[in-house]
Amino acid sequence: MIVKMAFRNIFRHKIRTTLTMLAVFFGIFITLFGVSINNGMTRYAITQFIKTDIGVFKIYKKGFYKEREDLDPLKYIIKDDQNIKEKVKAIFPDADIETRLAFNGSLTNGDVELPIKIFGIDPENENKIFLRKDSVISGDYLNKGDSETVLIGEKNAELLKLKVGDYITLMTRDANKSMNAYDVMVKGIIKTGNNMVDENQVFINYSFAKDFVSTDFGNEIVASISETSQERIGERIQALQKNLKDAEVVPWYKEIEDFLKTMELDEKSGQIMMAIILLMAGVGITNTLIMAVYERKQEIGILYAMGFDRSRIISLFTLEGGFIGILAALVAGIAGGIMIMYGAKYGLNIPAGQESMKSIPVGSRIYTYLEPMKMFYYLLSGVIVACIASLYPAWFATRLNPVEIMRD
Amino acid sequence: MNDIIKIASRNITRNKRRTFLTVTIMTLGIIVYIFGMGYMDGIIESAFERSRKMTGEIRMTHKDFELKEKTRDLRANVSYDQVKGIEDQKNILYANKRIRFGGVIFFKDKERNAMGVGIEKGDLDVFEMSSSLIKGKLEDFQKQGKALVGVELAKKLDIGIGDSFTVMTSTQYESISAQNYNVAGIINDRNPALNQIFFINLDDAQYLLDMDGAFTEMALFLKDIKLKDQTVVNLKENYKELDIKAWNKIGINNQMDSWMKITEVVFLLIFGVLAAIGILNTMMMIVFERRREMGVLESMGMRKKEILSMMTLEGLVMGIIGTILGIVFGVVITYYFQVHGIDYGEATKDIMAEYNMDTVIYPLVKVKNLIVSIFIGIVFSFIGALLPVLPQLKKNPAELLKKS
Amino acid sequence: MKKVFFLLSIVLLCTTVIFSNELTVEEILDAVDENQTPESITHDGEMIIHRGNRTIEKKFELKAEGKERSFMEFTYPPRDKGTKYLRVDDNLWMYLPGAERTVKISGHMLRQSMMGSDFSYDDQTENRKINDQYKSTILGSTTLDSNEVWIIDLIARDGIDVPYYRQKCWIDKKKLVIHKAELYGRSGKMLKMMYMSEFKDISGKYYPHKIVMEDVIKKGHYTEVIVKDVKLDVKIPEKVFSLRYLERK
Repeated sequence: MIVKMAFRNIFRHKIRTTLTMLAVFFGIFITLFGVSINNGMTRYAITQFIKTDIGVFKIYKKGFYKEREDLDPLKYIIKDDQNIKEKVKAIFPDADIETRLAFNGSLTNGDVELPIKIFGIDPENENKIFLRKDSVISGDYLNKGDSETVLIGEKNAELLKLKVGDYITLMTRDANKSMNAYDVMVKGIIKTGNNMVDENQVFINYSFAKDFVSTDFGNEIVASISETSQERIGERIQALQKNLKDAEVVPWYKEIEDFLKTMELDEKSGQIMMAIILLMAGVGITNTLIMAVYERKQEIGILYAMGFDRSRIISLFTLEGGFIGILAALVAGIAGGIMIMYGAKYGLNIPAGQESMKSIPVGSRIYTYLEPMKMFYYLLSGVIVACIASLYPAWFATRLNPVEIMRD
Repeated sequence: MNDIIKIASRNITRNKRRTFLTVTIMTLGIIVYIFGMGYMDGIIESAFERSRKMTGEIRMTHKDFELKEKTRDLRANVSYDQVKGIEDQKNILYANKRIRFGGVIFFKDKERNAMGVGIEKGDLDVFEMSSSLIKGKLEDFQKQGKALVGVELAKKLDIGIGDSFTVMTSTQYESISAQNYNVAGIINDRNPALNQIFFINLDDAQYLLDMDGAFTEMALFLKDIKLKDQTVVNLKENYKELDIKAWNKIGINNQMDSWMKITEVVFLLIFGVLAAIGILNTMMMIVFERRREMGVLESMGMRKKEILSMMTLEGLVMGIIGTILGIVFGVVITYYFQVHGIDYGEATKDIMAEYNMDTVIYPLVKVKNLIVSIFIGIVFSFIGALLPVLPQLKKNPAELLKKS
Repeated sequence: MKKVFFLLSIVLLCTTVIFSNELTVEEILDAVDENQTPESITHDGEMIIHRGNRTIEKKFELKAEGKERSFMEFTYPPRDKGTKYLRVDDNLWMYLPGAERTVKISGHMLRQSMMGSDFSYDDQTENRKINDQYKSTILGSTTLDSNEVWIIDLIARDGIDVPYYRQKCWIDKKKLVIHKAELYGRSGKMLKMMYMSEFKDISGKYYPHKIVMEDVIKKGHYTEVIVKDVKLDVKIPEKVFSLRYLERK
């Protein structure tokens, strides 16, 4: 009975209900918008890291990863990569796997010398894992047989004034500690959107890289699988690690641990913002209901006369507030859902957001993302705020003296 | 007119509960607006402040500085002669010379690449070293051969107060140069980047890098930051051979600045609309509620215009009172947090401790937000009072009385 | 790779035919080693570093015994005064006077330039015989600045770490000294060029008084070393080649 009454009541004053709902709707919608953009950026950044630089996991020679800044990568070659690959395949049958050879060197035109990380890649597998081909903005991607050609990032090309077809010198100290240099032709200029890659890395063919530094083996194995979430692959990663004695598996969530922590904090500070917005919407509901209570003084009196007790009156008004909240949340959920789905599919073009964070790969469009559970959580908090906001007016209604009300 | 004011004021004081409620809700709306915007501004401002600390409000460098920065070439430096008279330029408060350089630190058996900054005394205030210092004494730093070490770097080197470490680097003429510095203090700044580096006195840095009478960057701080663009133009006129840039035009800050501007407008709209809806709502309720009263008044011979003025006047007065109270409480609450901060990382402190991240937000009381809140409070209470009255006025008194 | 082998075999064939009645290439290189590595030597030096339009001048004193031990101290400019290097076998230490600290130079630091010059630490620490490091062939004879020279090709022996994979040397037939050397990476790209000149006969050995190292990759980068006051076969006290001596004030 109360539910029906409450439901009917909210349609008695269309303008008022609309305005209140608008406040709640707006509050929830903005929250969803903000959170989904934020999550979308984080997710996009993670995907970018995985898709351009680190893969889903990498395997290094034991002892290398932790001290990698101070160690010579050419001293940590992996000789049994075939064996390791088989072990990876046993646990991740759908994995794309590539052995790469990564080493430090420099890129110079004789005037400027830029320190750089050189990657020897297998073009075919590299493209399967990193979609490297798509990041070529001018010129061509590497072919399997290519030698003495290089893919370089757009910014370095600009800095060294290089075009496709130009020659540039790559220098390094090889596995025999000999200096070695090649004049290589710029075959393609790449832009991945990940500044770590675009500014600090160049790519050459795996076999050419082996010649370059005189080694017969690679020093890292990258793998990509369709499943990326930590919960779902964590155990299998550990199982793989157990199978590998002389190698270390580094999954993406370990590689970008710092970034993930930062994002976690970012979201927390964002949640406070969302709380403030919802609080504001709550004030709107309190406001409306207090007015409603006022207006319906007589009605409340009649209800009392009919034998309603305080708790039922409180439930009636709380339900009214709750309904406004639920309705607004529903509409906001639908509108927000459509917005998020659109944003997830086509991306939202938010100007100037493009390079707002240099160390974080953010594309030119921002793709929204929100886990369904999180969305539900935000909608629910909207409803809860609405209910809480109606408690005071409801309590206020019961404080009115029935006799006085009737006389009025 | 006097009568109307009288009636209006009597209405307000007579119906105390209604007045109280309306004003309370207005107040709440304004408080949340001021706090919400202050929170937003706090986030933005702390990010900007970090940037400004690093570059100065205006940065003066050698023309090639940005190009050479990548390879840490110290030859793109500026001599004291080139910045003669900078302190006497219009709008300049401080002009701090700095040298940023890279080198290898040796301490005991540890060896680590690190960034150092040579700073003048004035920069101790700019970097707010007195509040970020967690160990040691700032007075000690000002002696020769002393260093302040970021807490993260100190941790990696396992170094403490009184320890001496060696910095090896190349001078601007590519000679190898190494000096020892004694740790005078450990700093833990809110900006994690500062916790990875070390500071030495500018004189020491000049000696280490063979850069007597020269520096790489000059960080200018202004008397009035609003005039920064004008000041840049003025400085460019007087120091033609130098690169002079306002902080928000330097590299990444440039994008961050425009991004933040958009964010701020978006949030201004969000909070503005929410506050406006609340106020509008309240005002409309009151007027709806009083339709009958309007009928009575009209049948008693009051002119429609007078009723209109009376109603809006009442709304406006309540709006103004609510706004004033809202501003008072809003400022008090926001200011409290501006001083004490909101630590949203408290719950996760243990995990975060090793990452040493900034988890405190200091909302800001900004005059700009107060002005907007006054505007929102008054304009929307006026509109809120006016809108529902207008259609009612067209109806005749009998109709108004009948409906309830 | 195949091409290189092919060329090499042709070259080898030629050399055996032409030079069969003269010194073998190994003998030549041993003689060069012998000639350029005195039992002991002390000399002063000037290092002039050219960087495009800019030149930087440094002065040093050197004491060395054979190929194994050397001690080098910089005396000018004031900034570099007191910077000292000690090499004993494969170990290289540097003393930093400003910090009063000794640093061992190893690993990636060996690649770096010495005192901002075009010599790397690698170039300085070489102490093995040419024949131990390189396989050699004589490519031919020619005249260089009116000196009769052999052009000798050196290629790193398998499994031996050398700073340059290949060298091409112009070796004086009479004095048995290197006039010029081109230093190549494994790729075949020339990295550096070295010239030695102003050979003076000191106690029967020819010692170069000017050495130039040019970085052919970086435009306008080269370093001249002018050797002065050479004394051969002097007795150098044992303590000179100790860490304690390096760290003395």
